[in-house]
Amino acid sequence: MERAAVPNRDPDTHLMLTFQQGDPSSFTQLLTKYRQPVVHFFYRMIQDPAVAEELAQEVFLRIFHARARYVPKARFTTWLFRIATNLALNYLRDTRMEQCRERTTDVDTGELPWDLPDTSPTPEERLLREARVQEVRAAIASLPPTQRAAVIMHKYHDMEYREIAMVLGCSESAVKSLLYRAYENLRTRLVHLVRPGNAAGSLRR
Amino acid sequence: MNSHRVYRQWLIWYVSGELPVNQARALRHHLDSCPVCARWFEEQLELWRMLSEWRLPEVTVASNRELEWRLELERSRGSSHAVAYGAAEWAPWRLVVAAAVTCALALVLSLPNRPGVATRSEPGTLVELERIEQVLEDLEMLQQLDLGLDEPGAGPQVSTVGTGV
Repeated sequence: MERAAVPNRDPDTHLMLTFQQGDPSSFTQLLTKYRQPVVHFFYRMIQDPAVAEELAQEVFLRIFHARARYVPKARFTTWLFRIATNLALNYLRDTRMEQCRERTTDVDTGELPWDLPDTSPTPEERLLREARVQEVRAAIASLPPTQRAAVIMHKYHDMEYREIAMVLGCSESAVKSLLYRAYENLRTRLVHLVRPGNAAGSLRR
Repeated sequence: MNSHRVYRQWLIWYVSGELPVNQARALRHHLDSCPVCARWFEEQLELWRMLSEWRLPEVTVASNRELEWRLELERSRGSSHAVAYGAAEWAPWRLVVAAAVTCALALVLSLPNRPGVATRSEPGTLVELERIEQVLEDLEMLQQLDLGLDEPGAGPQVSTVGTGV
């Protein structure tokens, strides 16, 4: 009965079901596998490392609490990102004013608090790359929250349209339209960098 | 203009490698004949590369430990309530039982002159005076038992008898 309910025999769903039946090691496996992607998702959504860590912990605590009620209707990652997206959107909604203020401060100081250390060979390339990443961060932060979530899931988590649609609770065509608008917004905002022949853009690897 | 939008939408799927083969063929054909869309395609491709540059470091060990600690706390809480690990946390019967016990307790406590329970008395009330009178009578009887009616003052003082009892 359970086997038939598991969509496409997703191994993570199977782990969740074994955890539900009382095997704590299954939960540890899920935690090991998805902790980092979830933290990264929150970081890209909210751009605050401390909040990202805190919300990621909240996701796994919710999964832990909800194990008894878990019913595998979709892939485990869909459920996981649905919880994460709801938390992120709620957080962004609740702290809208603070977000605006902090973002302005952050752009002014030009700090990159939680980005990967740059390994560019020359200082010039390093500076250009830092500037590009800074602009990418600001451009993503400027997107409306739902577009932001869709782009992050699509670009950084390789999720399919169908899965993103299930996470966001809309149709697949709505997700395609949402992503089109989001990428178009990003292109418009970063056009000075993405235009062929641009100095910063031409230094790409 | 409308067809440009359709092709541009396709371009996004093409850049992310999700466009079906027949549509990709039609798109390439369109790009050969439309310089505006061709430029748009170049920009979209560059945007895709730029987005990839934003990489994040691995999650710290300290934050992993914090989560493990919180989960351990949840596990210990759960195990004190549930017999088996993974047992249902949501048990409506627990709420019903708790509510019933609370109601029963409240009812018993609110009953005036409950049978078998001494009525609480205020100082100076009739019940309090009766009790004091009873205690004094008991003391007097004890005195008479210890000292005898004929020899008053031969035994210990009244005050010490009282504390000794």
